Amino acid sequence: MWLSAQSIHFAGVAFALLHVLAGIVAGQPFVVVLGAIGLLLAYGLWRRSDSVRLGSIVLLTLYVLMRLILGVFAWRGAGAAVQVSNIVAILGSMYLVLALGRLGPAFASKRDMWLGVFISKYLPLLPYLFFALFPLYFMVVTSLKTDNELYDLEAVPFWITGAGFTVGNYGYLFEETPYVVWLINTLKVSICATAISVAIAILAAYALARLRFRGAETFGVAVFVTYLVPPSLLFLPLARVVDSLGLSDRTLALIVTYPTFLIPFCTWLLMGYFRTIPKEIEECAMIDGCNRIQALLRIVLPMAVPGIICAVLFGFTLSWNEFLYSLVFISTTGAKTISVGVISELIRGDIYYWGQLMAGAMVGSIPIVVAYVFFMDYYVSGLTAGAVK
Amino acid sequence: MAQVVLRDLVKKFSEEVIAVNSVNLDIQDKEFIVLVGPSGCGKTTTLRMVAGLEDISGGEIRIGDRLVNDVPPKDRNIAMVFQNYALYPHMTVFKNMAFSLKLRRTPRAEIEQRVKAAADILGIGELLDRKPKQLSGGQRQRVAVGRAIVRQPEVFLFDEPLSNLDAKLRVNMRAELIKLHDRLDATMIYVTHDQVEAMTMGDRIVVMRNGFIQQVGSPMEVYNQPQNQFVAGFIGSPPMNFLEGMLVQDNGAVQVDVKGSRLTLSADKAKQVESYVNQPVVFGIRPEDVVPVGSGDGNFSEPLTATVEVLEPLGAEIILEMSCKGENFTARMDPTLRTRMHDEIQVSFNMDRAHLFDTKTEQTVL
Repeated sequence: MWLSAQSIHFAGVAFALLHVLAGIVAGQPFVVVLGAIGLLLAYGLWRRSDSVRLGSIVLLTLYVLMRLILGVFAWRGAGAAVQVSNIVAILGSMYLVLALGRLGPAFASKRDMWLGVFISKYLPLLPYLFFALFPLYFMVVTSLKTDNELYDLEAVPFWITGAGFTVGNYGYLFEETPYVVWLINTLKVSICATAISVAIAILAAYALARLRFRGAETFGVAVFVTYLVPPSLLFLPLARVVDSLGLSDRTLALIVTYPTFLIPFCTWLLMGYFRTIPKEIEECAMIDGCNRIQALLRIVLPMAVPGIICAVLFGFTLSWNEFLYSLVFISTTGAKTISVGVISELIRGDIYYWGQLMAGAMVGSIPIVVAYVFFMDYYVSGLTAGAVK
Repeated sequence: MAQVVLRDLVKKFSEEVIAVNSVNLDIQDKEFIVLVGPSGCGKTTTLRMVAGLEDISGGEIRIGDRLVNDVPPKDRNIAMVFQNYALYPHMTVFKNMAFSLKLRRTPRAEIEQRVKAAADILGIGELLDRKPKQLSGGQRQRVAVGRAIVRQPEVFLFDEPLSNLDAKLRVNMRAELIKLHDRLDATMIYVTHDQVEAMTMGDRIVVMRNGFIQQVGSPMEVYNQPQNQFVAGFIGSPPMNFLEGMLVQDNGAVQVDVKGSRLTLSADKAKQVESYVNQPVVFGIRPEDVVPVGSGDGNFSEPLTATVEVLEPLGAEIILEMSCKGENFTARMDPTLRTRMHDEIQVSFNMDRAHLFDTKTEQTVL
């Protein structure tokens, strides 16, 4: 009901009217103008004329984006009325975008098809994209600013004025800190921990998913429960273990401890995947002359590649971003990983080296992006097509 | 060389769930035997036990002269075609078919020659470089069969291999499998729930229900001399008509009284059922034995006036759903018959081909 065509139109007009009023009360002409545009758009939508509606929807999309950005800006130093109008306008715009998604299928005619698709598929994605990409954008922008620009209260924080641009933060990172060593450490730890974990998880998951033995189910649940034990509890006993193994302060300590959370995770992920592989294919292989191990290696694993890649990607990402164990088990600068190294070297007391911090985060996220791009094709396409039926 | 013998075979999934119950079956060498029954009757489980894919809870299985209870599937010298084909999706058709030979370290030249030969038999020579996902359903089915042929196994196992094909393709493949059996001269065990497949393909049919074998026999034996009411009703399409009645003796003649209609049995048949006189029985008559009055020779019952409820002209024949005194039955008649829905026509039953079943035990009385 809240998303019916009538209520959407009503809400659109109501929001726009409120907006105009707020602008008049606050004496802000640009708010009034925006409100008026919103009012026009809402009215245009209400009218059932195709061309008007089309134009309205395209404009509305732009308007919503504009509202989101300007709304954030106008926040600082504005009067209460403007602030209220902003909140109303932002919420209203988001409501309209979401609600229009529901209206999409109503555009049934061929001519309106792309419009329907646009409204029902892409428009609702915009708020998501905004929230997903904005932090990334902010990170990049901040990493490219000089300190002067960063600490200038008058400057707009969302972009860089010409004079404030620098790549010096990156230079500092590579020349003045052992960032390269951390990068190599992180790579080493992530690759080794992931490889060990996925190898063990494949065997465990296969056994739990396929073999019938006493206690299989209990064991499966136990694996899951293990994963639920928070690392913030587990690091205490693990610290003792690491210490008595004589691994403190060495990257090996992380390679040994990361599998404690990676193996349960990967096992559960792979169990689900193995279950989707038809049992008959494996049985056929066993009749064809394979034993269990051969069937696993030659038939099941090639078919499970998308699942395994998924496990590798998640395992790698989890290890790459791991913070707590790395912080607790490593104190020598040369053995640190990026996540800990960056904050221990670039935060001195209460001084934050924002530019360098953001540059470190930026460079640190590149390998993950590369890994995802590289494996995405495998990951998305299912490999079981054509096997059965 | 490869007869298959099942002795007191039992499969228990738990104490309550017994899928296969003391099954005894002697499958001759080079025989095409069909296990047929409704879903859940244990036919597939039986087949999987022969394949070695299910543990055996009791009894024994012999392939050739060898006890195979504890022999892993790969060493039983069998090949199996699965209902969903179970092709290896990451391999080409050639590799799919060559896989079992490769595992046995067959020389490359021989692999190539055997795969080619099998592909030619099945008409899939063109498809050897394709992956399974590039094939149609019928082609996948052929590859699955080809993969089995290449092995040259002692026993072929088929688990409802045609049930995923469309009706026309199914009829084609059925004929091809019959030809294939003729050509390969191998023992084949075929599982299906489709009684038409069972009738057309099997040298012998094994009808199963609830884990028990109901009857074993050639298709015509099973059709003409069903051992109980279940087999009688399961084999044949449209199914046999069952009418509940009472066996009575009147002036020396033995008759079945169905709601007042008296169906007289011939003298020699009467003798066989004397002990059942004055007991309730189930009278069974196949649709083709319900005929319009006055057609053909034989021992026919008194005419009955029946109303045509549904008329299904199939071209070569007409299927009629009829009712008479509240009893419904199906008839299969010649297409030249001129009749319409709601007409009343005179029919009689061919009493030479009538069946009688015990009401309680469902066993065949006649």
